[in-house]
Amino acid sequence: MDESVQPALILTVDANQRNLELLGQVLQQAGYRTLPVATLAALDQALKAPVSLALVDISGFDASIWQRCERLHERAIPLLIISARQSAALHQASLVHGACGVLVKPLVVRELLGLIRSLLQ
Amino acid sequence: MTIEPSLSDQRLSSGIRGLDEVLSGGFLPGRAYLVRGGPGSGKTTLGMHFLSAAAPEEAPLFITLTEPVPQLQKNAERLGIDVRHIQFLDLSPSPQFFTEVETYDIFSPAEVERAPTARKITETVERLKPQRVFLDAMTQFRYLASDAYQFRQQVLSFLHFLKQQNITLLFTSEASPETPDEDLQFMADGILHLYMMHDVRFLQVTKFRGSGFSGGAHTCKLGATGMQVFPRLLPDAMRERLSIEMISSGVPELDALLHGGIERGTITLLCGPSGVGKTTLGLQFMKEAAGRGERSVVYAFEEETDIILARCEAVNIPARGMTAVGTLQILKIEPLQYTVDEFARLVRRDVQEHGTRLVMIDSIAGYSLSLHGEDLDAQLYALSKYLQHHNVTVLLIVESSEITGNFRVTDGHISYLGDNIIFIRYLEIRGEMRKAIGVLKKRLSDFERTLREIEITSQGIKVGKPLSDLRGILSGTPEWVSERRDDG
Repeated sequence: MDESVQPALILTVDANQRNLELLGQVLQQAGYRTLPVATLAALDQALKAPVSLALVDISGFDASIWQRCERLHERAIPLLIISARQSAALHQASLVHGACGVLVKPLVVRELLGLIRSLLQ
Repeated sequence: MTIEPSLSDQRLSSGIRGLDEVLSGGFLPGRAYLVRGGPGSGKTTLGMHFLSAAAPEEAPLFITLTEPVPQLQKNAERLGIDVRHIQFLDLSPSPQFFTEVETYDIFSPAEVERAPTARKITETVERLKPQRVFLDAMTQFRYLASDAYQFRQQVLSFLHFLKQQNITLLFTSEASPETPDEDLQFMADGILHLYMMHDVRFLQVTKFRGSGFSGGAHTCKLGATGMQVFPRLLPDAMRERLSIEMISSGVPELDALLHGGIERGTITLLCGPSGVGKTTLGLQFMKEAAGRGERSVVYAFEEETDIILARCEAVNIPARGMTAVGTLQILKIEPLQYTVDEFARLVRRDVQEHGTRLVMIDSIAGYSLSLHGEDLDAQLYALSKYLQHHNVTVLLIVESSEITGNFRVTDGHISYLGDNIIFIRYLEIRGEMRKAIGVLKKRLSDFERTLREIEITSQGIKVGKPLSDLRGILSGTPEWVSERRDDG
């Protein structure tokens, strides 16, 4: 957890509202602020926000999501892709478009928080 | 009903009388019991009985993870189970889970639901302080655990939590070959299995820490009033007492044949072909018993009560009058009305509650055909032995298939059951159909080795002098010893 004055703001992207809620709960309990978005339009709005990290669940989005990922990467924002399945092609695509790594659902809370902590350091 | 007191005398009634008997009085407080069985086997009903048997100050609590509360309440009401003082904790999924976007996949259910569920349960238990809890179904927690080890730890810790508060817990499991529940069986203090076989429901206890219980499969019924359990009859380990009290038949010649009558508390087989008068002979003993003020019961598997009554009246046995004063009861048992355990319970209760001294089962063949269940011969043996131990005289009617010809006592292997075997058979003497009565076995006294002629007349049963000048009686076509006749 970041011990600085202002807790880190994390951008969470998920087309499933319930997923977004749960992800928000977990991150807020760990002391982070979150910026949840559920649609591409909302994501476009949020691209300029001062976020320290982005978690993008690509389920429910089409290939145009990659373009947004690249934009985040250009701003040097660490980016984690969340996917419903393990796939070499997807892994490759994620790295090409600037992701630091791919997480496969269901996520394990403890591991997720550990990963975020190390990326924010 | 006698219930043996155990070391820790305090027991919690299960709310089902027969089940309390199986459990030697009931559940032990502060323990956790597993109720397992397939769908529709009555697990939830059993739990309802358990909770409704609690006093209101025991604050019985029903935790449901599967069925919603209104449905449970409605079902209980339909069965006439009073659930008004039962508290419910509803952890079943709400309809919104399906219709609204409540589904998620980002974390496993174990990560998301376990903590809130556990919190709800502990909060409720601490707030209500129940002494009885029923949890339906424990296996639901399996989906809230990330692996088998976590599940085991969680269940164990939950059981300890309840044990600390001295709560008696009944919990169910939904087991299938894919997800067996052996782990839960190890953790429970007792296991009740509910299952169905050939349309008959059974309850079996296989584990009951700290107490004895009646083993074996007991039949049970799920009916309009909930669950009933009929404990299997095991002959109690009472010593057999040798009775020397003779029961007279009221017919002097018959008593002479039996060297005084039959002994009280013995089992007598009355054998013979169809229509020969076995039932009437048995009722003759009952008529005499009624004269002494003793009560008899006939369990009629074959004939209607009215027919038996009418026939008795025709042969000078005042069966209607005996029925009216309560010294005789004739009970028609309809085919497939009872399971064998239920029937045994019926007989036993009648003996306990009405002090019946003579019981006649008419007939063994009807008994085997009419009752559900397995091991009918062994069960009949157990029932007869039970009655014998309570000094009840048992008359068993055995129909032999041959009308005449070579003699056989019984078709099955039941002749070992009888202390006494009396038979009536047809004889052809000089081209005329006659009947003879004889004794084949009498365990406790000697008896006449000859046959006597028997007639059933409107004045009653008439028994003649010993047929000592006939030979070849057992063949059915006897000859006079003095005058040789042509062989038949």
